[in-house]
Amino acid sequence: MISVKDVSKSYKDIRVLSDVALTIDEGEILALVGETGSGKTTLAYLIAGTIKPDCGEIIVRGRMVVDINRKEFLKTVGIVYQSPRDSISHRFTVFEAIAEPLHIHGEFDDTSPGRIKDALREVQLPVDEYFLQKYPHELSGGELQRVAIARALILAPDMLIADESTSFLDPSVQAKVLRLLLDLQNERGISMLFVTHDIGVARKVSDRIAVLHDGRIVENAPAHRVIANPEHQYTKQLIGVAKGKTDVVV
Amino acid sequence: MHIKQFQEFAKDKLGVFGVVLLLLLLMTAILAPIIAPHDPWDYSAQHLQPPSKEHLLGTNDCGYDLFSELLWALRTSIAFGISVAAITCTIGVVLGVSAALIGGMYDMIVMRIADALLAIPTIMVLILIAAYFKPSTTVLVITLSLVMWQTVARGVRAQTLSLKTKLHVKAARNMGAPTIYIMRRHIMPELFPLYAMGFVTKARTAVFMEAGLSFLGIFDPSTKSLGIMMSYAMRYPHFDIWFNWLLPPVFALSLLIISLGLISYAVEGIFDPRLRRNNVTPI
Repeated sequence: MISVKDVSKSYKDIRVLSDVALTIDEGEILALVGETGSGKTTLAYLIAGTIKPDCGEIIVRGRMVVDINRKEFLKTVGIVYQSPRDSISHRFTVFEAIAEPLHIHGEFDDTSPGRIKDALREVQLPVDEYFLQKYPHELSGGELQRVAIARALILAPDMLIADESTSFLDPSVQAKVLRLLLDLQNERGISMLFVTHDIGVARKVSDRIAVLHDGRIVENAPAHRVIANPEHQYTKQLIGVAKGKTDVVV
Repeated sequence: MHIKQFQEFAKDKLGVFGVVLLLLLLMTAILAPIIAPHDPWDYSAQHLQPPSKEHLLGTNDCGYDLFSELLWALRTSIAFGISVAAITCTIGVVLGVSAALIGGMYDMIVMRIADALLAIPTIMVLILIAAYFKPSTTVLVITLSLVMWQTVARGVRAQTLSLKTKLHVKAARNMGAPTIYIMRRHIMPELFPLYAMGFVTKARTAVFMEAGLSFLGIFDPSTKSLGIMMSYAMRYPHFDIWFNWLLPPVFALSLLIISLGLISYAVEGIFDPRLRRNNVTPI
């Protein structure tokens, strides 16, 4: 579905990504693993089409991303961010937050309240008027992240990018949100790019793991193979760190 | 953190008192044509009358009814303050937001003009213009607005620069939101505290300046003004007229400035985290 070919990206003089190449197939979950500053969020945003590469190509279903109408392309990608408290305006109610993509793409109409309630049901949240009018500060972290997931899915995107979407949540809520993301991906059959610094979580959710180190992909293979037979020293270190802590049960 | 501004404001007793006082003064000013017992420009009454049933505050040296004159002068002061505050805030917000969003040379030019205006003493400029050109009230309102927008613009620009980097703004942009949408839904509502604070502060300054210029005798003499009333009353120190001619405009002006000051203080206390009472420690 998505093919990234020799993509590089710098911010001023700092090289963030160097000759990165990877693919994401239809319905596949690819986990992008790396430490903070490894360039994984930049790569995710490049794939989402929100920033442009300095060189290289990103091809979606045979078409170069730069040739696709930007607004139309952004409609096909849903992003769930690390901190739902920051990614949703504190001035928006639950209804307004989920309706935002519909407003932006001119799709808000009489059917929208129904669509919003359906999206809330999908993420297992209440659909009563009282809940719809709640503000972010009135919701728990888990509830708010579910609202963010509903917002990301309201336009029925082809791909979901989860950018450290569970790392701000406490372990029990993290497990529930991960389970929800997996169920939704499974039901909808969409591709998912799961960005995380935790290779333990990546193993549990993904079909394939790509390890990013200093802006380069150092390992890219099926999840079970990366965990069982890591080739790169950095991957071994990440696995060692993950084994040193309690795994998240999904 | 989500702040329920109106609830916070309602807890501030002085702020609420300021609002009530301002509303009373505003109602008095609006209803001046109805509640004023005499035409404030009618000078047919006997001059320098003491207070009576016919003339509640007596009459002045020309035979004007002082109570009617006071009501109309209050109207002028409030209208002047609101007009200057509205124009100043509009200019400040438009220039501040656009400078932050457009950036580059445009930002630099706007901010250098703002810096230059900050260095100029506004009251001196106004005195010179009023003394030499004898402009109408409308021209004075516009002139004052043109030299007072810089602090609003600087505050708005700084806040917009910070808001631009917020994740919810980036998220909207990543969804494909155009700049106009981001301005309308994400930037402008967040700037409300700055408009509110700027508006009250500028209105207070403008009311004070109008009274000051009138008192100096360089404001439009055809207009009823608290400053003009005080200025004329001061010409008769040998008559016992201070309590019915001098004191009422001083009292009205003081109430107006106090009410705006109390509101300004309360609004600032809510929106400035350093001043916020019952401060909540962020987690």
